Amino acid sequence: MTQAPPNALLSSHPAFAALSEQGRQQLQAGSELRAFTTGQNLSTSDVIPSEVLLLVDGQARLLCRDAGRLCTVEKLQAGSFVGLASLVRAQACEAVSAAGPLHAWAIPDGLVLALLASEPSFSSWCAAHLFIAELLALVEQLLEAHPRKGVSALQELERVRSAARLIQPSVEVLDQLHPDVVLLAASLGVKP
Amino acid sequence: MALLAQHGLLRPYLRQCLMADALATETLSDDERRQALIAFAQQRRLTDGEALERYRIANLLSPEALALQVELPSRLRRHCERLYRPKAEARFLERKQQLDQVVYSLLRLQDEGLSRELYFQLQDGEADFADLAAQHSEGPERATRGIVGPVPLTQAHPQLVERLRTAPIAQVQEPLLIEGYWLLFRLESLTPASFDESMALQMSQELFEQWLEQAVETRFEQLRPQLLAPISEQPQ
Repeated sequence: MTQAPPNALLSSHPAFAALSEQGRQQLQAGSELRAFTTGQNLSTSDVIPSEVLLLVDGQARLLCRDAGRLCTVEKLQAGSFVGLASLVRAQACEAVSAAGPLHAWAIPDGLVLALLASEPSFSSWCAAHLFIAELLALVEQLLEAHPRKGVSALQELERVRSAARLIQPSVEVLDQLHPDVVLLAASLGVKP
Repeated sequence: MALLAQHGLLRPYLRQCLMADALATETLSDDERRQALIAFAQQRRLTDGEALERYRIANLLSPEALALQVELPSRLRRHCERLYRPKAEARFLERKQQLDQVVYSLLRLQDEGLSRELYFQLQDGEADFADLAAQHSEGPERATRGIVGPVPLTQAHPQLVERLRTAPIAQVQEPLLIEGYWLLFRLESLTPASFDESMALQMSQELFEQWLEQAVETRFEQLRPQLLAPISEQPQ
């Protein structure tokens, strides 16, 4: 069986599949293939990375500190982004380390921001994609503001994961929501 | 004495002399003597009286000297029980933390990233500690598939001791940096020491050892002026 060349992912990934020709060329030219070793940090939870990584092969761990212990939230596979959630919400939220040797496309933050501004298909994909790292960060914030004894962030994440969804912050959409639904603004760019 | 000092034998010689003096007054019953002889012969695999006699001759021992060697452990036990048993419990309480026995799994390596990944594999049940230790550990515990112990708790590095004291059983701990190595460890069991008869004897013997060490030091001090005096002043 032959393996698809690494750069095929830059064209076929759902986030990029509908890019304009110019956007595609910019992405191909500006991205760089990187190799990571076992345990190497791909991203930390306190710094917005200067590059967004797109895993090509291997696995990485999304991490969190839950009840004082460092834990795996989930394993990220080929096709997963690292750093995109932090960049889009303008607040770091992804602690990720390599679970083994892996390769990833490194896409400079400037290029990602340019694509967000110029490529509606990419910005729509980002707006519709709920990143688990972001959801976890929101759960952690909620638990910090309203601590509940014996409730861990990971347990809470599992509980809300299937029910959580992204919505457009427009009056029409908000008016249609059930009164029991809790709304959380995920981006630092939103004024309260 | 000077010759013994020259060959590095003065300290063990004084130690044996002082011990023999201290134990000389301890008397054994006939039955205790018999038991002492059986234990002595078994330890040296001397199967009969002839073998014991061959041992005596081979080691240039008079019958009295052999009897002294045979009876030494029993006399020591009696001496310790008589003089130090009353203080044994106090010593036990003083040393209790050092006497607690621990068994733990250990894996140490220099690569921080790898140590962290192995920690996640263990925590998430993706791998077995023994297998990872055998495969990755850079310490001697690699030969025992990571298992250390049972050993006294305080035998480990002080930083590790601190963590082992409070670690829950069977839960792998985050890598800990000690002297250039990242340590992954998991407490398997912690057995607090208890003051039973065997512990009482151990404590009594430790107290006797303490006394013996002091007695040797005192004798050394007494001999110092004599053995370190200028040659012209040394007794002929």
